[in-house]
Amino acid sequence: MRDMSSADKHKETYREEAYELLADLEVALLELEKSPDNGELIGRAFRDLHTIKGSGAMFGFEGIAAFTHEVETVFDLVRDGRMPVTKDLIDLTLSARDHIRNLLDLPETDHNAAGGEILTPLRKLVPRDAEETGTGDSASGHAGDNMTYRIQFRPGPDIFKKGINPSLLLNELRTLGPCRALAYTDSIPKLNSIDPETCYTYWDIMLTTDKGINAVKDVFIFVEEDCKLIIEEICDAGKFGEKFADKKVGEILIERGFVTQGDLASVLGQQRRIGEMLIETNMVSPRKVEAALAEQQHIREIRQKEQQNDHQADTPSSIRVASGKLDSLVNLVGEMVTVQARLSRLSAFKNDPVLLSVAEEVERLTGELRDQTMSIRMLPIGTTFSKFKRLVRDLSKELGKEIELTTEGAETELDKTVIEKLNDPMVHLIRNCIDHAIEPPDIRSAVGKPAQGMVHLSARHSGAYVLIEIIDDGAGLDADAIRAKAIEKGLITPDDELTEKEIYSLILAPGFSTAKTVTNVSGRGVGMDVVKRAIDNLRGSIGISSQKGIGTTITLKLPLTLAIIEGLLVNIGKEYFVLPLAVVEECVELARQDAANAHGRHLANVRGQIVPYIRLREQFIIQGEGPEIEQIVIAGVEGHRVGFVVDSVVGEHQTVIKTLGRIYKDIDGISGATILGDGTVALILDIQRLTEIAEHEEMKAQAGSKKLQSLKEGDN
Amino acid sequence: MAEIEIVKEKDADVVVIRGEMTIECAGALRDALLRSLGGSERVILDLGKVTAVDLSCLQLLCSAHRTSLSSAKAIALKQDYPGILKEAVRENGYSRCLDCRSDSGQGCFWKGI
Repeated sequence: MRDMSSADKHKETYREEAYELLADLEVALLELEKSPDNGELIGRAFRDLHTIKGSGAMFGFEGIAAFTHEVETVFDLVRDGRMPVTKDLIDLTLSARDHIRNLLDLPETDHNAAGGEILTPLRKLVPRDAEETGTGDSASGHAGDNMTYRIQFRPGPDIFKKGINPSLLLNELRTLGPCRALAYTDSIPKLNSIDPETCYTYWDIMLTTDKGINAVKDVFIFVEEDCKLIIEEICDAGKFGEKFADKKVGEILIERGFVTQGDLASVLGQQRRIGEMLIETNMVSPRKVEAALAEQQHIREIRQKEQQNDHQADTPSSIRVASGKLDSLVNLVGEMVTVQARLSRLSAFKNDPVLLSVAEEVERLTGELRDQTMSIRMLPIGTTFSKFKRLVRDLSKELGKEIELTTEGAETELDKTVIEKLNDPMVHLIRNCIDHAIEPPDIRSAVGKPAQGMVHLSARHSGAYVLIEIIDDGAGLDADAIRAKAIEKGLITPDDELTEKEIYSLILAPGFSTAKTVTNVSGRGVGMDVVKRAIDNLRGSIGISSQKGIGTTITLKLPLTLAIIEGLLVNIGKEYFVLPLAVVEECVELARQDAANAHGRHLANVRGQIVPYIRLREQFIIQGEGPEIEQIVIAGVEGHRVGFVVDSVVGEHQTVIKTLGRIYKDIDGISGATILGDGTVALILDIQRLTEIAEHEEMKAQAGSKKLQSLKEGDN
Repeated sequence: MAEIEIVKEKDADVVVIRGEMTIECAGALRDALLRSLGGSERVILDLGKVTAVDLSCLQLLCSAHRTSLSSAKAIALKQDYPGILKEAVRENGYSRCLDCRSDSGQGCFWKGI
């Protein structure tokens, strides 16, 4: 790998972060489209833009910073409620988001023209009055940054008579952020001269808020004409450096104009607290010292909070790791698991108690290491789901359809490799839903369906698999049309008797498409077989169920991981095979006599239940005869129980999956290989495929015997 | 509206206030406090049954304390004062840690509340 300079590394980190922020921005915008008044979403979009801009400028992406600045400025107005969220705004901001992505992908290319095409209409959206008041970008006191204010509030004496309670104003200030109010009572007269309905109290208030100075002023909006109000920022950007945290009471008193430098100098040098000395010498009232102390305390508390936050930021709960490193780690763990199997085997052979205990310890640790490593690779599928929201939005718009995408189980975790490889097939499937399945709004209305179509994505765990369903409420599959097309394409003959499920699975064949027109979305018949191949490569399967007029459900069944699985090691003759343990239900014996009693049918009676079985010895053409008593490993395949006959069951095995070389890629019924402790290679069985092959052969045999029967009847 | 009652005890006047101690009763409260401080060396405020306190009444209590200091009398709060008073003191920024006046030596009415 080429060594990257520090600047390059920073740029790469920025790029990675920017991609994440852009993804988040897209999600926020799409959600905002649905709920345009959601302030939280507006804030989220603004923050994303703000960070992309700020970090962009820092890492030398000036083009991105300049462009994003313009978009951010518009969003700032939205955030301040000075312009509304409209469909145009969302469209343009989404385009702007794509443009920023282009800028990130191809920084060398000149994108000015494309940028201008977005910014010009975007600027036009800004209402004139909002423009005139200015956007106040980055101006001091702007909302978003924490700022500390010193507020001197002296209400008019007749504030009570006007029905205003100043303590409510103080409470309102407290809602803006950490606030400390100190009342001055020195103006309160004695009882004989007090007017009970006059306000004599005035306040010194310290407030730290990220809401901006306008929000602070708004609190006093009804009393501002009749009060003395001074609002000062006491530090920039709300960040207290050490300078602020260590501010002395004397300094604060000078700053507030309560004492002069001279006063202070005159009392300094005495080994006593400055406040006490100033009070004693009547230079300043105790309340003023108290106000200075309160300010000092307030700043300290805020500073402490900042430090805590900084500390949390310094020790993040997650770190970014290059995925290549994770892959290497998994490979190493795989090697480790294999070596551990060798060690276990060796220790069992030597039968040395010391070695046995070490081997057991290593086995335990390796198991934990394996689980931890695999869990690191697990990612929630939600990131993939959220990408599709944009896809559905754009495609449905293009095709003049109204479609809503809903998702469920976004938190379901899958191996990152599976997730990465799942993207393209999912795109194909969703495109098909939008293009073929969901009818245009007028047709939907005509058949009594809501004009808006629905595509629902759901993910859930099921044993060692994840089930992903793509459900639409469209027209459903037309079994007759599929059958006719399949006959036309020569995929089946008119005589073939197929179940509905088998007919549906024909759409997965290469070159199959019933769409009468080819759009640039789908209909070229290259999609579904690509989907099938991709899912097969992931050792997954596709299930299709459909009801005409109601909708279609496509279920993808995918293994949780592609790296290491729990397997059941079996042998036939000298050959070893592994069955994925997750599908294994039980093992039963098969005596030669019982098999003979079945008259050649491969059926076993397991506690009164008939279970068909496949003789792997025959399937793989392994020479020699099986033992007197064989073993049937019963596995669950698509809701059915199917047995696999082997010579003997060795036991559980941590299976590090190694892909077969290219020459073996077309071998049916084998999904990979693994290396055993003694270096022997064991093949991993593709249970599903083996079952399909057996079913197919069975059907062929039955068709053959039927033909023979009818020929015989003809002869007679 | 609060009920104000002055209970004469052996060595002090006890001003008992019940209900909402707010601006509506501020006039009556001032009169009661003036009367008590005029007639007794020691005034005790019993706020145990008070259900609300506002700024105008906090000012009056402050004023009464100030008046007592200038006439070398004493005014004090009965210890079982309600949480609502504490809350009003905090809310209006009346809490204190230093005395009001450096030369009084009498402390501040709000110190410690």
